[in-house]
Amino acid sequence: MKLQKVRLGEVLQLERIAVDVDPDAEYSQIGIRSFGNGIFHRDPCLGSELSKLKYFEVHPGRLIVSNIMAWEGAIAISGTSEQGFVGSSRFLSYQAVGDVDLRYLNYYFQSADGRALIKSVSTGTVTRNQTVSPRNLENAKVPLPDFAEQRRVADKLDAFMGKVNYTAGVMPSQEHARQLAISGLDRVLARWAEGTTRVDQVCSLVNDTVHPGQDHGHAKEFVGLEHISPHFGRRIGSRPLGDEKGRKFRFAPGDVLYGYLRPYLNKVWHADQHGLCSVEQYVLRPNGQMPAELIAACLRSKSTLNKVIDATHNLQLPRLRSGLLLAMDIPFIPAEHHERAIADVQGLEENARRLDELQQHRAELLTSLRPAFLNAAFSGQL
Amino acid sequence: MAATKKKPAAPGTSRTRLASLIKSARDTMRKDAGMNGDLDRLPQLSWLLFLKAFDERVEQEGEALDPDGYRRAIAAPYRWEDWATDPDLSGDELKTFVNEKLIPHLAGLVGDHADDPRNVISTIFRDVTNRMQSGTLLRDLVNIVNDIHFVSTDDIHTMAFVYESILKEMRDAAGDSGEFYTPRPVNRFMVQQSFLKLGESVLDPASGTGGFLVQAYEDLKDQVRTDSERKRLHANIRGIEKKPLPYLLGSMNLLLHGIDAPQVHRANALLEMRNSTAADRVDVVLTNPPFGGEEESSVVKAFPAGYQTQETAWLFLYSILDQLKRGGRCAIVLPNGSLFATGENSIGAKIKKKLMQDCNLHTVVRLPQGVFSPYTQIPSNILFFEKTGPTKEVWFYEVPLPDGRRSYTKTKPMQLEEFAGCVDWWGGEKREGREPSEYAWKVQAEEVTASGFNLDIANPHIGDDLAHRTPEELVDELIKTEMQILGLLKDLGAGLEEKR
Repeated sequence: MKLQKVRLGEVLQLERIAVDVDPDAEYSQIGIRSFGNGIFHRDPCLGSELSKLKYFEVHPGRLIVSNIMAWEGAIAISGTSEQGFVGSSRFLSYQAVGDVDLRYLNYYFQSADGRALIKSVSTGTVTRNQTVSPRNLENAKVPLPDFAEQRRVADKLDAFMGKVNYTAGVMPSQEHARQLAISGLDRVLARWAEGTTRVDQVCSLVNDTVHPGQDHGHAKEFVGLEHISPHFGRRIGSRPLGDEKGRKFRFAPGDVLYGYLRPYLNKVWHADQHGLCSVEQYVLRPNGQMPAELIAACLRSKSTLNKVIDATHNLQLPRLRSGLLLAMDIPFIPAEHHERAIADVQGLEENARRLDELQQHRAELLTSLRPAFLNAAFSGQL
Repeated sequence: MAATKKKPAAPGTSRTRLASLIKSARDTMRKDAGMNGDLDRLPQLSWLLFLKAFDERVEQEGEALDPDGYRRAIAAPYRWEDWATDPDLSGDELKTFVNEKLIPHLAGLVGDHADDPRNVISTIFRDVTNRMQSGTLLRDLVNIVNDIHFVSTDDIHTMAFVYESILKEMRDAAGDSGEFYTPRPVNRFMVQQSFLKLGESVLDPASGTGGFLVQAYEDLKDQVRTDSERKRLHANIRGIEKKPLPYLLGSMNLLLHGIDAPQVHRANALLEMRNSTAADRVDVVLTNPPFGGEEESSVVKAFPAGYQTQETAWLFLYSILDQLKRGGRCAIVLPNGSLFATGENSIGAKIKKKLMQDCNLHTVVRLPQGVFSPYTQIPSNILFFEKTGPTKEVWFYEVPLPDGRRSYTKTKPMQLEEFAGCVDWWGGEKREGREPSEYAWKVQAEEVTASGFNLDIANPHIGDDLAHRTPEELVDELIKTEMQILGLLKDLGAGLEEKR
């Protein structure tokens, strides 16, 4: 269906009701989130605290366009909750003057075509700020069906988007999977534990330092803190060794790498290769009392993490001292249970990882629903 | 108390020795009241290094090769050995000599012919000032520079490496210094995919610190067999730079890499290219022009009506189209915003139209986020085109970020290896056997024309699974995923309740 293109200036009128700012009066300002995420309210402030920009009244039922972020979808419709608010000159407030449903226009501007249109009338090469002037916006032409059709599409999209937002709001976040992964470890380890032991009774700290220019030995890759996923103990990357600038620690297969800088990130990895790591990681080498898999699991568990957070609480850039880590109590699992305890830990971690992946996939699907609806709506399939 | 064990020192290399000399030089300059930050210190160090390198690389070598015929460019008492190696010339006496005699003398040198190195020296020293206020500290600095040698090829390579690392650090210094620094992997990739040949002229009209020129020279120098080929190569590596600081740094960089009389002009490249003749045309242009910059109106007016814009990236692209010989080729960095510019009145769209009519825009390489950080986060692209007639189709290749990365940063910059996938896909000089993939896609020229010359075309394969599905399909998959999550949670619950 070929729609007639209408100049925005024919259906929208800029509304500028200037506010005479009183330095002692309190004002509430609006802001607009990008990507169609609507209007938000800033904390009220005194007139003297407002910026030097000009301010204008915001009224309900207007299409509000952020002139510097519109290209990124910072366009929204004001509602009754914005009554009495003010907006700086960066917010262009438009009221409908023709046969136009502002909701339809707003949804159109969030669609791929609408976003491209806004981008094409916004000037500037700076990454974020690309300004759209009222003149350019009003000269842009938008394909508009008749008013009844606009309303039908907007009603349907309102209903869909409401359900999507509700679903996204009630779904458990990915944090659930992370917490499950580490608190589940406590449960599984306790099943096989007989008392506790100190970390330094099952492994020792190895400081095999490699300075720039020295031989890397068997190491071929660097595995830094950034290459370990928090909570799950997975290696998510590495980089080949080159001209290393600073000193590094060397590790071997079977070592446990513990990230002691910002230890709340819980980056513990059981190494399966030779390599170099950053000096912000402790290299722990098991002494045969307990296998590395179980030591890593104990260090990653929620109870250990809680103790670590307590020990480093209130530090600006927390680091866990090696003495504190080595003196920590962890569950002691005797040799006869090692094999089954490892199988249990691996089973739990595998399931927790799978759950994390599924939740991530679900989040991506939910994110894609919105553009999919918009795409369907503006290609006549709704 | 037990003695603390001394850590084993890193083995000494000439690179580390040089780095430590440079560090001493910087520490010395830091003590001087006249120096504020790297943007003051680097030019000061550079002009001294330039004089020392010039003395050893050109003057002493020239005399050694041709004892009777070589005529020094710098005469006594301004030769390095006359003043820099004399430890008694220090304090105010040294400062006065440098400020009132040496620099004015060097700035006033006039060459007999176009390739005379005296022209390079005078152009550099026209804008050089000695920023050090203490003659004693200046003496210390000169002594340190005097300990740096450029005699062997190894020395030069090492110094070039150290110098490039200083340039890279300078990119991180405050201000807009980053504007003339292109990351090395980007330089190398662009040079490599331009398949340069000996005998071709190569121009960077925004040559900055000389990254593209050095890389092009490094790419070609091993093919040189005779002295005349070497001279021709030196003459064929050309640059234009407007600002004095990058001009000094770029000349130094080229000198260190073995080009004794760098063919870099200090001029406004846009005017220079507008006023150039057919004889000035080149075979290859490699450049990362300034974008978002503005030019004075006299420069803008030098362009034909309809193509007059303040946006420097457009002016550069327009000029390059003229500057290329027929059959010539170009690799240029442009931001996403330039690729997008569309509309009847858009000058960008007009220039892209001209580009696609005059040239075969065969490849657009979309660079990942943060390649130019911290100077700019603007997402950028490299356009490869040849002046061989109109474009029929454009291949796009999106260089992916390494796994788990969201952006490149100052401390974790892009590596050359990350272009490997693109190089494999490229299909050699003739671009044979290119296939669409998750990173590569092809767009017909008519489609680009129909979109109003929008070249900001997103990878159609990204999010194939999701973005292009219908809402019904997405909802079905959500339900399926939710069922899997439920099943998994039941398994997990059962696992947690298990006993030994």
